[in-house]
Amino acid sequence: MENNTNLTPVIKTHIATTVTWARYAAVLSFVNLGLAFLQLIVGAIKGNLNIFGTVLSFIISGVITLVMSINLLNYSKYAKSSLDNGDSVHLYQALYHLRTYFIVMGVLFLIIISLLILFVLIAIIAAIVAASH
Amino acid sequence: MENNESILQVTNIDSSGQFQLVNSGKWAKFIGIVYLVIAALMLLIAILVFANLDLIANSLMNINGMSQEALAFMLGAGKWLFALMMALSCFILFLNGFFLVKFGAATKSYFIAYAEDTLSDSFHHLGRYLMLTTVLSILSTVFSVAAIAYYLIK
Repeated sequence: MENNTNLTPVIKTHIATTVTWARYAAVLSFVNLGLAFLQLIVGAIKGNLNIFGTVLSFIISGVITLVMSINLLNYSKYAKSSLDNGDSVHLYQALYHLRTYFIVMGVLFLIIISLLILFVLIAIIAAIVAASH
Repeated sequence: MENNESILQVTNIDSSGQFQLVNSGKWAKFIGIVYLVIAALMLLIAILVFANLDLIANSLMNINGMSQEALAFMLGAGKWLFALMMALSCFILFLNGFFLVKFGAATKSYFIAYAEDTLSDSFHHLGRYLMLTTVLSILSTVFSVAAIAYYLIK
């Protein structure tokens, strides 16, 4: 059984705006990922490439970009479906994908901040050790 | 109870949907604050570098060696180019952070009061954030194409 949403026109308009921009952002992320792959190939052909490091960083950034873009695209798809059919289950699914998108980004930020703090601590310890000798 | 039911009928995002939205808002707020902190740090670094550019340029010249033309560019147009790029970067980071923090704050307000306008506000700010993300993605695409073209021509 479908549960119907009863969103006001103003909210629907704002959700429709997010649907459009989320779709554009997701598609452009896929395009940028393809271009990054092309850059990798061109770099390899030209021979100015540290193969291991570049491929590894491409795989890591590629997987993160792919996960985020898929979630953004799914948000757009389900939110649009919810607006068209008034189905609250699809709205729930859209919000679930939006949450996953932000969680992936947030966890990524946490990892980067942790690594930065770690590097700073290592640098401070190294400086103290160097000063004491 | 009756009041809650009537409110839920207006917005009709059920409790699990509300949980997803509020959780998105919390993460978005965290990301937004990080963006704002990075923007503030970048601004601080830019001001410090800009104020001491003569000293930095001379030090770089002593360490690495630098032609007079490069030094003149660094202290002339390069200085202002650097200032412009840093200001632009700070502004973009600030806007990203601002929209995300506003989105997070609006979802939190919605969860507390279940007011229709706060839900509307949250999607409005989310839309602006996504619009900025799209514009930045377009710029990234243009630079990537230019980089590939440069590699192929070189």
